[in-house]
Amino acid sequence: MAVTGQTGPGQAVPGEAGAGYPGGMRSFRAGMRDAIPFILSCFPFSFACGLLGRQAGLSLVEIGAMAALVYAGTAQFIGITLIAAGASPLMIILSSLIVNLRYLLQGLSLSPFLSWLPVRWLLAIAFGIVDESYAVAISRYLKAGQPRGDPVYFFGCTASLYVVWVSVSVAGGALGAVVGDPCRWGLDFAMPAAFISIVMPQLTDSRALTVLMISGLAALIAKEFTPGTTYLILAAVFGSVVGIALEAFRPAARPAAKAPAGDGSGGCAA
Amino acid sequence: MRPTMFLIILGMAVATYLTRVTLLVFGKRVNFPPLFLRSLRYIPIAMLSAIIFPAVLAPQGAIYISAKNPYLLAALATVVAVRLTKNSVVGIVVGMGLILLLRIWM
Repeated sequence: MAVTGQTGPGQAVPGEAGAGYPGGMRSFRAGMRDAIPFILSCFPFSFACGLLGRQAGLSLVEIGAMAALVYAGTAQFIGITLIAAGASPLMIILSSLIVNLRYLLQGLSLSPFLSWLPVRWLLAIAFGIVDESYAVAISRYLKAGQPRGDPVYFFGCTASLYVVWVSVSVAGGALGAVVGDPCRWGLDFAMPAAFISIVMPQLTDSRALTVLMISGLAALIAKEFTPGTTYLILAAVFGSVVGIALEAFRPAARPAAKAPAGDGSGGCAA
Repeated sequence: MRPTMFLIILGMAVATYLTRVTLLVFGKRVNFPPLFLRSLRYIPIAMLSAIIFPAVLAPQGAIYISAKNPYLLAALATVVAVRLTKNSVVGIVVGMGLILLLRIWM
């Protein structure tokens, strides 16, 4: 079901589509709740990020501003490292662009589910795209099997992750010198653990499992030979090509899933 | 806040936002071929496993596939716990507990 999960009947769930969002608050809370594993996994990383910022000579205001405005863990880690090394501002900004290119793919992957929304909604949603919110939201949209993804759910997810990321970053800057780096205790394992727990329910057939193994191994190899987060992009593209190739060799038992872009419902409660 | 630092942070923020917004919004405008859209369904699993595998099998950067790799053992414990309980928080707590124990023992 997982990777072919978009074959919904295309009917709007009351409160899940439409401008009014009667179930808005419930969706928002559901997003917050489903983000809990990643809230846990955010703690050690944002704390370490704040600590690193302090060591690089950033003030608490600067640490907080970076967390609040950039809101992208890897880019911040690399940015802070470059600041400490005295790199030029242009170099630092360029590295943020490169290290975050994976968000292009995540935005592309989310877009079929969200393209029914007005552009101004997309502009707001885009700010909250991080690996964590992407993982939670795309899982939900695939599982729901509806062509229209619920944006309020995404906002709920973003709200809780954002508050934790910014506040714990500042706390790491303030207390890091006393407490030390939580990752040295192995707490950084919370990150892969959270991603493991969210990917497992999606492994419902052998093809999904094959894509998982192949892209995982591809990432492992690509990381050895490419800089930054390039390996994430390479592995994701490679994995989706493998998925399509597997479809050609072994057609799905059930009719091929329709692409989620077209809303086949024909005039639901929009 | 120092002016240079403010500019750096602002530049990082703009660069990051551009990567997030571009294809999310363009996906609305462009009619992609069906094969391409079908391939998008595999991106979630591929991207998530690309995050997981190196973090577990190369936690310090170098590939470390060994029964002594605490991240690998903890990942297996998490997989088993999620499988049995269907609860992600339990899975994380079990994995974290094991890794802390291994830190004490090893």
